[in-house]
Amino acid sequence: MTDTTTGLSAAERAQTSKNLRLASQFIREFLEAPERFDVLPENAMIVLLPSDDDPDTELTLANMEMAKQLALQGKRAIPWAVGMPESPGPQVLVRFPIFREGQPAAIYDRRKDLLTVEFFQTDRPTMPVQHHPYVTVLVDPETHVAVGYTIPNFLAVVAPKSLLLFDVLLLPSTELIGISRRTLIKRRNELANGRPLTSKETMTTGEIFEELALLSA
Amino acid sequence: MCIQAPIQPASIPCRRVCCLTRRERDFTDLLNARGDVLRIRFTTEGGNVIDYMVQYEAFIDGEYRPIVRSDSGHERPHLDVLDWNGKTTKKHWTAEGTTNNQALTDAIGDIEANWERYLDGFLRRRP
Repeated sequence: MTDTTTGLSAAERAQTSKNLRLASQFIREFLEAPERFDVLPENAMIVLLPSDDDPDTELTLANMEMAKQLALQGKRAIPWAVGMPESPGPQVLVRFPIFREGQPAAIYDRRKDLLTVEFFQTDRPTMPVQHHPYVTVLVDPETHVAVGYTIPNFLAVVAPKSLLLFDVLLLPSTELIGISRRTLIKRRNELANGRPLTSKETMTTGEIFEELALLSA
Repeated sequence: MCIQAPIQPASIPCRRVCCLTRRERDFTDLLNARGDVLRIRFTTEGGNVIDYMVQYEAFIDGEYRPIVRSDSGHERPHLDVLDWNGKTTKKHWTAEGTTNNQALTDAIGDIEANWERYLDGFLRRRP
């Protein structure tokens, strides 16, 4: 039943109050450790989720439904769980495809310093889910299957931590926007301390994820 | 100015020795299925909030309508209760000496405690 003074149903009023409480916690956590929030892009639209310490299944389901509806409209809202530990696990159940030796399609855009890796080609809208300190997974909102992922601040933050990840940029199959291969090789030489360029022609999705997992350990 | 330790081999994460870069951040937090939002914008330097703006907006008749806003303008944090045209109907100043960090968290706490009253008053002033 809709409340005549606010125009909201009882469920929406409860959702609003709880989300404002989560917003308070979100800001407190941000001010304590702002670097943890670097994975969130500028002008991010966020949907906050309760922490595991204070679970609220009803709120989680309602908020994830909000995110899903936006994704189906072609808009992106990033689910973000407050109270996450230093090494957060997945915030929502994401089903990853079985990685065989398939080659993902990688695109690096220097203007946004963003690496995008796609497992499948799809025209369906996707929902971003912060899965890892450095990685946002793109998820089909209907099936919850991961269709790819993005890594913001790739050259600035992530690539210097791992030459294997840096070398994703140098793969023949990687599309580069706003930067030349020559510039990347020069940058790699600065980081590599004499280690030779990769001779890899390909890199599997599994190898990339393994390396990302090592970074977060 | 940001100072970094010398670049380490790739297996050792690089460490930031200190960082006082001024950084602007903004988020839009979805509050309910109708589409109401909390817009949060602030600038930090280290762990200090240099300036901020928090605004609760209701999605009514296909538009976002600002209901109440708190910011650090006029050299002192304050909260403005708004009318249908976005003009301030009431202004509440924070206690003197309140830091922007505290004012930002207090603002969200105030909206959390009073949002229904603010929204009800806003709708009653609807032209």
